[in-house]
Amino acid sequence: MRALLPTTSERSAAVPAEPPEPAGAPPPGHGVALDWFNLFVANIQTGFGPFIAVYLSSERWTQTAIGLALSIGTVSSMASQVPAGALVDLMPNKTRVAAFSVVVFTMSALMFAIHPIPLFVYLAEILHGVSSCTLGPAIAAMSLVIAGRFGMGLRLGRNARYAAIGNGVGAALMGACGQYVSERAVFYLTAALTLPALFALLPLRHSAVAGAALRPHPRQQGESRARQLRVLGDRRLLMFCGCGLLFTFANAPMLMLISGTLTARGSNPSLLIAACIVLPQIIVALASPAVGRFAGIYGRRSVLMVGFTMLPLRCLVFAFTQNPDILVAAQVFDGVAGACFGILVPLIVSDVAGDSGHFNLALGAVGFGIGVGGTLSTPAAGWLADHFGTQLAFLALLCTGVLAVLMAYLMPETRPQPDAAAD
Amino acid sequence: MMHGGARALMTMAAGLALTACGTMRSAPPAAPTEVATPPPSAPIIVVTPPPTPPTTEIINPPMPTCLPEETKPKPKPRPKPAPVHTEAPPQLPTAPTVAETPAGGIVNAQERPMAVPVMSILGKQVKGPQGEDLGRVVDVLADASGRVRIAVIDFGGFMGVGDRRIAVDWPLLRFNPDGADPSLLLAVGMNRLKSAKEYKGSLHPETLMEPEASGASPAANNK
Repeated sequence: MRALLPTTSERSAAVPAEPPEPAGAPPPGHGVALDWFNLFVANIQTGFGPFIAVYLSSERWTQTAIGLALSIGTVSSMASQVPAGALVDLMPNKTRVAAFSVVVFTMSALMFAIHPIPLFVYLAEILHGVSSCTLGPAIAAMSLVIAGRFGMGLRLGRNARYAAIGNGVGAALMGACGQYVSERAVFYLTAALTLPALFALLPLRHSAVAGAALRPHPRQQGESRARQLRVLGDRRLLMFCGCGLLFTFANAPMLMLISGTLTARGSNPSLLIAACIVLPQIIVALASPAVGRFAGIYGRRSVLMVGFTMLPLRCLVFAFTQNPDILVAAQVFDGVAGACFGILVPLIVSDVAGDSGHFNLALGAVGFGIGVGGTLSTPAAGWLADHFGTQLAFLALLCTGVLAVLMAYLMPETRPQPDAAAD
Repeated sequence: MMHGGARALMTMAAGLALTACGTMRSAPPAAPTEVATPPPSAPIIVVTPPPTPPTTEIINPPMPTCLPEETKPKPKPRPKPAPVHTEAPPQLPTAPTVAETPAGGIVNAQERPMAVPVMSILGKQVKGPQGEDLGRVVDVLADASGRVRIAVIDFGGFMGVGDRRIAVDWPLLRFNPDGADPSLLLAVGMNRLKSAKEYKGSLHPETLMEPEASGASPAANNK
């Protein structure tokens, strides 16, 4: 089964890993549908990124109000990670959850576009934050249904590939849209892109229904709660949460820290920064299938460690060079790290909790840890850079990155046994 | 000099007049020569008219006082006239902006059309000498007297990633509120802007301004 997967082929080819698990293996078309869905969702999410700050300033929002709007988004997504995961667990039809989340994105984008008054913007931020938290787990759950636990690595590799393509294309499309049409048009485009996303889901609408294994066991309330706690208290999961937190903490502020140098030394700052965003996406798109395969062959932990090691390397480069070309080139490391991390998050969680009935809850918990890392790190790194210089900030992030590698080293392997035997 | 009017109304009128006068900064070519003149005459003369005429008429009295001396009153939003003539320190001092508050604590405010065209600043795109896009005004900073001193410009970056804020001395900006497409010009090249320190909200931010030596005449602004 492994042989036919990791092809570099494009969307049309590649049958998703035929899972050893029986459970009504869905037709190959479903893999392709999920590919497209991942692509469009990534497209959409680009519109909800930091560009919102640009748009709101063009709408004469003050910096304080923009900060508040973005914080509302952060807080609502952080607060809903775990509950949203638990909620998705309870829904038998993950496709419906995904479709519903996308429809909420449409509403949210339209609220931004049509009438960016504070009430709507805050509401849109909340809606987007919450539905992101249901969409992520829903996609992971659909992947698990489609590929099964043993084909999950390959499936997630493809997810990551198409998400990266979607991110890259989305950044280019929306960047052009903001530049040549208007800031507002970006949000209309975002809303429009939700339609093809919904369309891509159509083939999955009946089939990607979670089997019993993905649903919480029908027991009485108290027992279920204990089971939830057991899943969340799993040592592997907690350690992985810690890994994710450390990695994201070190990873998130990097681009912010080099942007000053890029701007001061490069001839076209915006283009350089665009390159810094798109280059890693290209790497992710290229490397993801292989990473998914390696995670099956060499184990999750080694792939995780390789991915995490890219981060200290990047910190080193950033700390000791000012040359814009080298800075951009070092983003290749980010691509490799991003591919590894992006695939291993849902993969390790599916290893740990895939058949517990609380897969999405566990995914939400890990997402929460990652979110904490990302939220705390930018201010922290900014403070370090202001007070002690950028170089020291990079060295501090380097240390955090090394800690993440160490923690990954200490983490037990989570690859399910039957798969390991197949090596 | 301009704190004269003890009565609120008068002061307000003076403020209005000053605003009108203070605008010539925006018309770089013509403005240069008469720099320090307006303030002395303006407030005093203006004081009288305001109480009487309710609306449009008021505009006229103040403007003449200013107009002859400078060229046409061009743009420039509400901020104070002062920064314009930065070069003549004696004139600037006090805050002409603030209406003296009467005993009751409430100024008997009236509505009148603003005498000069004004434009929105926040969120406005800033264009460079060659019409290149230099970024967007995201904040305006005033000093203790209420004078606007700094425009914070957000520039660079891609889709909101990696952009930076830079403090620019208010007098470096040119305002053109007239016409269909009000614009803001900044007489600074992209290259200078790129190497400027980032604005981080300090009390004394590193600010892009004219070189000290050439300080004396607004003409220097036009470089």
